[in-house]
Amino acid sequence: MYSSIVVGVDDSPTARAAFKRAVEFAKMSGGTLHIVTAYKPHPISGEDVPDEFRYAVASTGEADVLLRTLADHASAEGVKSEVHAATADPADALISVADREDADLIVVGNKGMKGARRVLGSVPNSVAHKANCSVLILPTT
Amino acid sequence: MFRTVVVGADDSPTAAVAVDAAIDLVEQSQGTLHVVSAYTPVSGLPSSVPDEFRGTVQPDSLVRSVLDKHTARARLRGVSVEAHDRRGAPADAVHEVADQVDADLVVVGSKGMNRRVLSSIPNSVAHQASCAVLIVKTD
Repeated sequence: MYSSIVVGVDDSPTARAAFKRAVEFAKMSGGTLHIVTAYKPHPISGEDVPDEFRYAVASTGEADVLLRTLADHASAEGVKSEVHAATADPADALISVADREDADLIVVGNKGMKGARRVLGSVPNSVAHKANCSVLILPTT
Repeated sequence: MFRTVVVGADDSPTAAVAVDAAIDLVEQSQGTLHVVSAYTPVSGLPSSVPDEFRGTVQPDSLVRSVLDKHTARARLRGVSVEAHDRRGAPADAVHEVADQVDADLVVVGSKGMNRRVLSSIPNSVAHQASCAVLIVKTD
């Protein structure tokens, strides 16, 4: 039904909830799950880390740990997955992975779809408007 | 995974794509599909139209034929289906039925379901829904 499914994750509980349901969905569809996380490079403290390494040390590690944990969960459920870490804006990262992997579905949590964030913009909102494939917005809030 | 699925549809080919996506999911879950179609009553019919024919020229008869067409496709796939016609705005109609049947998923096409309405139905549905929303790429 859906052979290539992209899911956006971060380390929030709402994203975890959306991820678990995306795994269920991929399991039902028999598709490959592309797990995407976007992170903002932020400088780490510590005088001894040379400038050129701060970026990589700080966030790539956290993103990798998150992605590996989630990929393990998918694999425990019998779902084939691939992981993607990006430094882009989260919505843009999801759409660019979806385009590259020829995805037929993007799964996101509904964080920011209601209330003030609706006006200010949110990941699901941007994804829903920009995606070139179907979008599943899961309630997590 | 989604056992009570509501899909909004009109007579457009893109709506049929959304309905088919909804049928796929309900077929998997062995749940129930609810097809919703909304209509706006026509006002200002010429006075020459006799009362007994006014009902037949109003869009509620069109909406019923739209619903018949979509529910027939669901039944052909062996999917349990219910039809809902609602007077008013399509996005409101979808919400109303989703609340009424306690839906766990609402399915809409990515293009406006009613081409005469300027505001985007999927956008409105996505922001208001309290359950999962599948926006099916139809354009």
